Amino acid sequence: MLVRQMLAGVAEAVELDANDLNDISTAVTEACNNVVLHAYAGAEGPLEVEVHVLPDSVEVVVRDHGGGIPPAIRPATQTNGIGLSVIKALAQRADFRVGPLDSGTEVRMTFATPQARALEPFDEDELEPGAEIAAETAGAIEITVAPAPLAWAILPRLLSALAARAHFRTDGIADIQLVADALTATVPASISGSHLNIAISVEPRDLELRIAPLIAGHAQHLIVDSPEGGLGPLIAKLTSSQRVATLASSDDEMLALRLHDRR
Amino acid sequence: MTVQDQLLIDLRLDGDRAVLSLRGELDLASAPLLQAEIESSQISSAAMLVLDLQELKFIDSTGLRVLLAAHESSRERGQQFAVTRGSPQVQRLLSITGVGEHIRIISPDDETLV
Repeated sequence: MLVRQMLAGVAEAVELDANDLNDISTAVTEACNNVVLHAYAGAEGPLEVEVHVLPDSVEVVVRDHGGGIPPAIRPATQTNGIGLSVIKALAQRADFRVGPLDSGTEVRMTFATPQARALEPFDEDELEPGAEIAAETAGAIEITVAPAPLAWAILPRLLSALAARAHFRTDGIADIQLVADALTATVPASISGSHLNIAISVEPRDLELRIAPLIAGHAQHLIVDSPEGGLGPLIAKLTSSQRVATLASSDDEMLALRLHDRR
Repeated sequence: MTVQDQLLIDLRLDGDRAVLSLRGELDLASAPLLQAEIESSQISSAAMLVLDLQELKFIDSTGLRVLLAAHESSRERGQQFAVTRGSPQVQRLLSITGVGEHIRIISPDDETLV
C-alpha cells in the first residue's frame, strides 16, 4: 500500500523508532480501509492522507469526500469494529469528524514520538512539516511535502512501489532508482520555496513524474549537460521524455519526466 | 505491485499437518487470496492446520478476520489449528485485539502437535 511506503519514508527521515512506525502504519491502514470499504459505496474516489511531523508527535489525517456512513455512528460490524478499536488503541488521540451530508469524513490521529528527530525549522506562515498524499484514482497520486528535503526520503520508495505496480521489470525499476537518486542530488538547489509538489501518474509500464515549483530557468538545467558537470545527461538518458512548463500562478517551473519500461 | 507479489502463500503437506506459509503483507487487498487458499480441499482434510506467520511482515484487521475465520472453520470440522509467531507488527496486532489469546501460537519446530 502506497500510504505505508510514504510513512516509511517519513519515518526514515525523522529516524522514527521501528515500533512507532509499526503502530502508525497499522492505524493509518485501518483508517484507509474504512475509506475504501465504506466512503464511496464500492466505487473509486479521492483518498487524502496528510502526515505532519511535530516536535514530539506525528499527526496523520485520513480524509474522504464520500457519502458513506461515518464510522462513529455505523453499527459495529466485525470488521470496522476491530479497525476502529485498533485505531483507538494505537493512537494517543483519535478524532472522527463527520462533515455535512456527502462532504466526507475525516480521521485525525496523533501518535506520541518523543524520540523522533526534529525536522529543520521552517517559517510559521509556511506549511507544517510533513507530507500530504491525495490519490484520486489507483493510477495517479499527488503529494505535497514540506520541508522539501523530506521529499528525498519519500520519492525513491514511492517510485519503486509504483513502478512495481505498473509492471516494470527489474531493470526498469533499477533505472527509476537511478533517476530518483540523480534528482535527489540535483533538485534541492532548484526548489522555489519551502515545499515540493510531486505528482506521479501510472499506466502499464509507463510512469510520469512531475515536480514543482522549481526556480525559473532551473528546470532545463536539471536535464541537460552543463559546464559544471552534473547529472542532467544521465536523467535525460534514462527517461523517455522531458518537459518543462511555467506554472500559471508564478514564474516558477514544473519539470515532467516520463519513464518507460524498455521491454 | 500486484496482489500476488504482495502476499506469497506456500502450502506444505507434512503428514497429517497442512502448513500454509505466508510471506509479505496480509491486508484488505491480499486477504481474499488467503481466504481462497483456506477453502481448498487439501487443507480441510488435514488433521491440523498451521498458519506459518514467520515471514509475514504486516497484517491489518481484514487479515486478522481471515485468520479468525480459518480458526473457526477448523474448529467446526474438528481440525487442530495453530499459528507461528509473526513480525513485531503482527504480534502487536494479535496482542492489542486479544486475538492472540484465543489462537494457539506454536514454535515453528514444534513436533508434538499431531
